[in-house]
Amino acid sequence: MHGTPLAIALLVAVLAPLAGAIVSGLFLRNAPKKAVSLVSVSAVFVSFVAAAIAYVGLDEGSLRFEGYRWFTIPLGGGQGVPIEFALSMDALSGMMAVMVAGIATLIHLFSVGYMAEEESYARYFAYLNLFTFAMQLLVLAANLPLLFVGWEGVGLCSYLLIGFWHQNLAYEAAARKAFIVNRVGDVAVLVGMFLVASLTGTLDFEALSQRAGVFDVPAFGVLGMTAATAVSLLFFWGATAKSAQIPLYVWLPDAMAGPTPVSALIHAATMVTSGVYLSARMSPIFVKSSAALTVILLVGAATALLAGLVALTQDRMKKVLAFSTVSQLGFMFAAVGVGAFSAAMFHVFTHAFFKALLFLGAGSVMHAVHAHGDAELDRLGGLRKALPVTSLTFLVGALSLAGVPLLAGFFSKEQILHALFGAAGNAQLAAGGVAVSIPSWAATTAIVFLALAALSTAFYSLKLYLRTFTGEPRHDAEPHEGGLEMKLPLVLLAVGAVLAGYLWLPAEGLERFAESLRAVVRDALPVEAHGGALPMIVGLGALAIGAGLAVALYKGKAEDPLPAKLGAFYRAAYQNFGVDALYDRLFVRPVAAISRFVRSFDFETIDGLFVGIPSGLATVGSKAVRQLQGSTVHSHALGMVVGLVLVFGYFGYPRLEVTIRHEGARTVLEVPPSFGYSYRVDFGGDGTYETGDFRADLTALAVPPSAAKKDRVVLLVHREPLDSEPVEVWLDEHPRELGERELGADFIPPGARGALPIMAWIEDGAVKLRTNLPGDEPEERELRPGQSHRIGAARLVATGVAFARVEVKNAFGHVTVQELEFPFRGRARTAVRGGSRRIP
Amino acid sequence: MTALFALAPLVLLLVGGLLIMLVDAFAKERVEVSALVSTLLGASFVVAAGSLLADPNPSGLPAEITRYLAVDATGYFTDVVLTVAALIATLAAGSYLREHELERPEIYLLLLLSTFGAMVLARAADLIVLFIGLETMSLAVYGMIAMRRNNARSIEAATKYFLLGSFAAAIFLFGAALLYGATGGTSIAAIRDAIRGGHAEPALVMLGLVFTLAGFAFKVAAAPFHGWAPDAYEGAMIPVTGFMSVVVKAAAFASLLRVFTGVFGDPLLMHPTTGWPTLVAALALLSMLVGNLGALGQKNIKRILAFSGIAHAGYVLVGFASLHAVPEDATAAILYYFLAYAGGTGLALASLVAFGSKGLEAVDVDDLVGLGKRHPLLALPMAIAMLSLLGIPPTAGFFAKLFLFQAAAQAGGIFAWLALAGVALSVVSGFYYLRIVVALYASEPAEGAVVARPMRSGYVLLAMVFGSALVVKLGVMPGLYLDLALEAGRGLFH
Repeated sequence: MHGTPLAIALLVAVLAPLAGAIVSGLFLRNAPKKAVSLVSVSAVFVSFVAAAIAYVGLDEGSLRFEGYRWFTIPLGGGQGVPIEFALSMDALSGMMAVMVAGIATLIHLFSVGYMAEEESYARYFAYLNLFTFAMQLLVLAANLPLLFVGWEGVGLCSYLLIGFWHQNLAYEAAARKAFIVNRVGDVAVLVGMFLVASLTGTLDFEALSQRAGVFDVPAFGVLGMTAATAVSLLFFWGATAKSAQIPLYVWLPDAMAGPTPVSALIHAATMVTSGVYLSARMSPIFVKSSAALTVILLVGAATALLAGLVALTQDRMKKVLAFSTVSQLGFMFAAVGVGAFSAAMFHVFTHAFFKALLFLGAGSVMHAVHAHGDAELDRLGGLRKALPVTSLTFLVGALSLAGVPLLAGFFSKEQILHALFGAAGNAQLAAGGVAVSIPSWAATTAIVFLALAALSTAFYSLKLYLRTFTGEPRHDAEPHEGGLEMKLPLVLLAVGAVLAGYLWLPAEGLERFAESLRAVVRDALPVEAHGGALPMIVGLGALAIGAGLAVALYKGKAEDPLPAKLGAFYRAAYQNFGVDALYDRLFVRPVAAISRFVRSFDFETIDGLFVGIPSGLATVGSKAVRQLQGSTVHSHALGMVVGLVLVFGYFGYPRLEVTIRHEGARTVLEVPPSFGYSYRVDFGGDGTYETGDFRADLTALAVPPSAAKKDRVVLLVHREPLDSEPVEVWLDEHPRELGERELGADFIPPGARGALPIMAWIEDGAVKLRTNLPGDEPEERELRPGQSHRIGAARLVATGVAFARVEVKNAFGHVTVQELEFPFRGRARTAVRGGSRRIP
Repeated sequence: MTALFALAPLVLLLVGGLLIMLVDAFAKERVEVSALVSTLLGASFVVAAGSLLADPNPSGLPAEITRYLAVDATGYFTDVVLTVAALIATLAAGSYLREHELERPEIYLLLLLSTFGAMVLARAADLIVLFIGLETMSLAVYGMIAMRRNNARSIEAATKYFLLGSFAAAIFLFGAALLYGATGGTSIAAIRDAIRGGHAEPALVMLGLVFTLAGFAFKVAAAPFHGWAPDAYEGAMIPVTGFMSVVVKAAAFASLLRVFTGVFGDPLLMHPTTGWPTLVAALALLSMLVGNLGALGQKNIKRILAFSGIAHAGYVLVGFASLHAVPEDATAAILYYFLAYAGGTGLALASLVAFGSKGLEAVDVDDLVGLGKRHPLLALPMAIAMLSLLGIPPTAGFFAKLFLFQAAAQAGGIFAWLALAGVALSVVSGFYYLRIVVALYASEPAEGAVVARPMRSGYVLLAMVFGSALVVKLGVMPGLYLDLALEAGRGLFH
């Protein structure tokens, strides 16, 4: 293990939360809650400090912690892809690591208050710590397999935390749904990983970005795609699961079953952005495929719009925020789709602040009104007075999400729109010398989708605020603000939701932040002001209309007027446009039906076949072993004697494996050399041994012409242009049809339709051929050994058959005999050359 | 003197053992022999590990030493394995004997001498020294098994093991005599050179191979020479079972490695179809079958571990069968496997010691039911050991099996099929290993059932922490140890 002290900080950033998880999960189960809080909050805080120190000290380049060689993926032929346990930090992972640990610290802190009444307090914090560890590993991994460990780890923690209250069966089902949907994506990541390994011979990110040139050549066609398209789409497929995009977004809204701080941390700010992070990591490959980028652009934009529309109609705080998250992730992927990776990461960054803030705000509201699971908007209202801190910070978060100018969300959303207008304007984007072209219709469609999505974002953000905090109270609780540990994270996140955008401003001292990020990810398009003022007009227009509508509709209203106004559309959107129902019909029920069928089939048939037989065999075998396993000295000694006899028996008689090799004009007979073995050979079967007596030094022997048997001929078919082994056709006096199988597909001359029969048989020690080629009269031809004939791309050669009797004797004087017949191939080949000249 | 330093791991045990004997004989107060012996084994381990890291192949040693005892990286590696296993067994014995009021200092000294014999066996460069090491190791083990004089099963086990062990020793000695007859030498190098040079009578060499292989196969408990193992393992005290199943097996395998890469390392003898690799492959397959199938129906954990040990002997033999194709990789895989197996099995038996108390042992699977719920931390090492023996990441056993089967796959042909059979039979082994984990963590004892009451003792806890750390570390950072094993294996092919 080695690395600079700064690189050690990477290790600390990853391992500190793991240590916290182990300590609170294993040793503090029955300890006071204060001890658990202290351990787990400080573990994450240490991770934050370590990540921040490393990030600040990053300078221009990158940091790397070399751990040890983890294992090697064999590629065959002595080649292998070594996988290191190595961590690395560059501007991209640095930003993510600091953000993840920072927000995780605040959320741990918030949880101290929020979960104060929870019985399984230590278990909760152990999972939360474990999640932070997995996420830091995902972000700081220096290669794909290690990233995948983190990727699986966050998936597992997400499952554990969604189902945290597993006594509730619906929550448990939600957790399973999340887990299963994510598995669907993981398969693709694995396949993509192996594809990358086999194409480039490395899985290390640094080496990968240098060897991305491999993907320039569309030489590796996979299902008609270039390798770059295949790999990009596989990773994107994985990302659609983790980052909740069409068609795999369905798990995220249900994931709100977990405790609210979990939703804030995992299902809003960090884990769900890992798909975007993976795309940015793989940007050197992504930018080489216009087709994949176009798919990503359209899927992202469609997800943004669809989820935005669904969010409009939801009537619970966390559901609105969940669909809002799906929608905002759609924005990020739209940016990825035009190759604006840095813009996507910018939105990841700002979104983390205001979405975590909004979720924690929702948590604070639920804590205040004692709502369990989720807070229905119809039972809230008028909370501004009772919850001044929550209300103010929530407003900041909502406005930032809506994209109000000068707040964080505004800046990142504008950059995405700029990038899209840029892509729509000049269809040719230049990325590292390779032209990427996004169809301008796709870019235009995406702009329209995103504008509508932005409009609905503004609408539901304000609706959420107005329905929760203003108007008359529609509940009978006596709300109260949480303790300092809950208020502090809200305030700090609110500050972030205001200021995070300014880090990107091209101002003195700040540009390093964005510049260093762009130095890592491969933007397809230099991020400048594209499309003039148009993107800003679109963005602000959407904001104005959405916000205006929301205020007009909800200001001072107790009832939600939307269901009445939108009618059928509302009901459809409320039901997630039937996607859940559709998936239920398409996948869940068929799978359930199949599994019921399989279950019954299983119990009756498969159990018998695949479980019954092996387990039956195992049972019988096990019984047999126990029966044979006597318990007396005699039986054990007998076993040993039997073993000794078997071992001796193995060496008692020699084993004989003869190989016939053809080299040039010679046919060579080879026998394996072995200890104590001696051989003798009789060619032609005349009873005289050409080798004389048994010889110990014999390994190879040229077959003499005298080995040929009279009246035995074999037809050899040499296929051109492939200089492969000829096909041997053993014939007898009965005519036999030669077809495509023997001659190859291309033996049919041009003009001929279908396979024409060529008959062959043996007559007087020669091969007779009757061909029926188009344009020619049926023709009969005789081939004596050594002669040849050409049909199409195939050369037919008649050759003699040799006979050999090989005898081997071992050290104990025991002999094994083998008799073989094989054609002289080499001799025939010389004859072929002569023969081919005869054919015009 | 340099030779003494180079052989410090062995010298320490021998001299230290004699000193402890004296101290115990003349001391007026009761001496904590287990602590002294553990310290000695620990020191030997540290010296061996240090030599392996610092100067694994010392040069300039007098030929009078190296002709009889190999002083090389392989030797230090096997020293490390053997001292680790002996240390775990000694610590476990320290708790076990006191808890069950069987405390007798001789057993520790037998353990020490047996370990010394095992180290000599593993390093032997001469067939006579090999035999002396083998008998030093074995005689002490017979004594250890018979230590519970009032227990009929112990006496039965010791008698059986002694009789069959003598039989096997005779078989081995006969093989060695034939080799001497064929070549006129007893040192591995001399016999090898005579065979390579064609000065050996082939029939005698082949017979020598057959008989020495049979002798070794008995000691490593490979089928069909395994019959004694379940009885002997069951009859012995748990720490002794742990000692036998790891130290005896690993030392015999290490010696087999030296003899079969040295004496029988001739390319003609190692020919994949006509030489011994195919035969060893057959023994491997049979051992994996017998071991895994035999363990299925067992209730007694000592018997389960006996059959599991037979199966693991089969896995190691898969590595031996691949030596002809990828000698260095296969040797490294075998050596690595020793370490993983020592950790896994040692840990399992140490845990079993910890689960019993006050004259009541927990030896049946049923005894462990619900233990993990009552003592989650204490039961954890047993679960780790089972997962490692099964070969589940991130434990030692996973990479150990991976490396072995990878070597066999590289050898190709029937050896690749052998690897596949090994993987399939590993799946079968899941049944009996996981049954123990399930009993620990996922079952509740029936009303009124007798439940195991774990002892409270520091020694065995130390062994469990040490073993768990080893097993997890080998599973998480295999690269480091595999490099060491590769380095150690190269010593054989100088």
